[in-house]
Amino acid sequence: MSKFIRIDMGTKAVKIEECPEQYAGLAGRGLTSIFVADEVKPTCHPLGKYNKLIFAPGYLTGTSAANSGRLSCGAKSPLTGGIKESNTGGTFAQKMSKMDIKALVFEGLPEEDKFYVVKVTMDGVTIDEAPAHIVGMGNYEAIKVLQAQYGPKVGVAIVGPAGEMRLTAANISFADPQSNIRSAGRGGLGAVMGSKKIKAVVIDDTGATAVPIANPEAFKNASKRFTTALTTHPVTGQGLPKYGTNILVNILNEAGGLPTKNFRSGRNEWANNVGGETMAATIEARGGKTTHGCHAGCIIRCSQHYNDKEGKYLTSGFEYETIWALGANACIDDLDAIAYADREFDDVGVDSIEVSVTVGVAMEAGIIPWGDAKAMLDLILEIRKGTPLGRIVGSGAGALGQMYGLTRVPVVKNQAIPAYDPRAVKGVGLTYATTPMGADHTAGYAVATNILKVGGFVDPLGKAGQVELSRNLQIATAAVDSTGMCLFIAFAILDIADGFNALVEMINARYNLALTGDDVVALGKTILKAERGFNQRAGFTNAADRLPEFFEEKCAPHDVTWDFTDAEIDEVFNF
Amino acid sequence: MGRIIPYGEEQTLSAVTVCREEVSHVSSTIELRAFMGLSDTFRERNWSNPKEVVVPGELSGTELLALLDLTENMVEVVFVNGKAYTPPLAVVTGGDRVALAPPGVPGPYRVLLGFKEMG
Repeated sequence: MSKFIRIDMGTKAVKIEECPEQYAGLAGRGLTSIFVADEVKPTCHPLGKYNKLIFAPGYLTGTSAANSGRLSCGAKSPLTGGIKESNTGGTFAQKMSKMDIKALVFEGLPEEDKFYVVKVTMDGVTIDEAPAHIVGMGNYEAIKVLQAQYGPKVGVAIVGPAGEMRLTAANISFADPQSNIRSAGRGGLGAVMGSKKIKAVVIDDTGATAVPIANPEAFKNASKRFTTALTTHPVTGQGLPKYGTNILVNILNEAGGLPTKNFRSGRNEWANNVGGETMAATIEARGGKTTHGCHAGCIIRCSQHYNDKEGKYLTSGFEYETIWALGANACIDDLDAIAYADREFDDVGVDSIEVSVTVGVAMEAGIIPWGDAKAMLDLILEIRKGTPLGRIVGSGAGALGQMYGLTRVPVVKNQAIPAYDPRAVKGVGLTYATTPMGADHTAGYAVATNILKVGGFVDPLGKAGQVELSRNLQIATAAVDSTGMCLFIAFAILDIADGFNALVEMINARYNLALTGDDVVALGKTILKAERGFNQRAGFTNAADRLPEFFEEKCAPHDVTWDFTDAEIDEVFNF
Repeated sequence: MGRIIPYGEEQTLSAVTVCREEVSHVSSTIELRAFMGLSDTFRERNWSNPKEVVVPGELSGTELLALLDLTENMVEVVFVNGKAYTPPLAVVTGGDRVALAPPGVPGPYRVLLGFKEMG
């Protein structure tokens, strides 16, 4: 039976037990969300002693299945006040699975003002005082220090200065295979980890064996077919490896859905300067890497190494949403400046979407001018300094908007709205409004034609079919988030039905199960209902499932508005 | 229908002359963009991006691709004034803003932006 490890940061007691029966059939987001719904007091203060932080790998994590190295992190979110699952790459999840650890749970709060490093090995768990010099240190350097102390191959989960300050945009950063940074970005889970005075968790899988597979031949066969689906599909085999997610800048700009100047327009004239094609050419010219995997076994490799003008590594995981938020929404027509910002977000440890959107709100407030790259970089450096303004910026778009009395603040459930204008891409808007996570595009991401019964074309500018589309996308995504798979596998299984079949067959072969596609849909529904139930017990009503009223304004170039009625929005979760 | 030579393209004088004569009384231009690998194709052909392309009245997306000497498997979607269509369903006329996207645009957006029929 897999290990379920509870670490009480108040008493420093560690309890290693067999996985409780009610969690045995769960993994990834399914486990983190149902655990939080079961064990966390919904009305608790997210930074108080009753909140619990859980890490859980997915069903297939640690196996040889391609793209299966993702980790789910869950807790009550200090940003939204609701349930949160935040998902990351890196090396941590695969080590947990190889060590047969179903979940790591961090409970309680220390009374003393000391930061700790939690060390997980095959021999057990120890809690060390954090080296004094890494407190306040940026994540890049701190990961080096920890890997020098605990071993060069250990997995690291860490909070930066923002997490230490318990800022509500703080993320949890994870070392990737090259000791660079991946992030469980959204929802302020770094503040939860910081509240428990955990500077870092290091995990050493020395002595661990391979993940057991109940039916190796069936697994091998399914894995091969799944890999074929990923490598032959033009999105996962060609588009993402070459251009990364930033390929979407020009596409969304063309579709009129690229929010520009704090969501005043869906299109601008400079998008190509920060788009994926320009980025790929820049990376190649500077000797960087246009393709890079965030975890071992990733064959999509949508990440990259973006170098500065001198050819020195600057950042990776340089994603569309960050580039959109600074490049279009804050009007900063400078890819290098955005790359420096992205590195600072990783180093100080904040969600790059939340804080990039906050920069646009800061421009709305008149704190810095629109499009001013230097002022933007100076502003985000305030977070590290812990100045009052820096703490506001590091607490997200909602906080800054409140401090400056603004109404044009793009958030749902206090979480910043990402890179797709909900007026021009209405299906995403419904997901922003209704997902229990707060505005989150990845909550409605997975598409598989053989399990979702959405018929016909859906006009992105119209309302017809959008409720069903958002509902089904969210159900499928909740299920895929439980597999340990990168969500981008959805791009291939959208078109290649056997890819989805192979995914289910891999889970069956791993655990000797007989799941069907219908079981996967049922799992997705169960997860969403648990998450929404938690939020309702925390005090959320349907009134929280609404977009800010400024979306009633027309959005160019299509001059569309957000025109769903409350009753229509409420139908998304009618299942 | 003859091949339309867009203004600005490097061609022999005679070819350009013939082409412009063919369409002079009905033609107008579209503003054409290309994304992802198609932007490389434009660059290899010494085409600007965006580029103005002369069109002889109304064309389907398929006809536009033929005029541009692009094969259908190179283009999944034709944007016309910000709306996405598969090439056979696209209708292009002078004055339109047009863009070509190859296969490879990430999946959910192909549904959410109307690229792909579900079910």
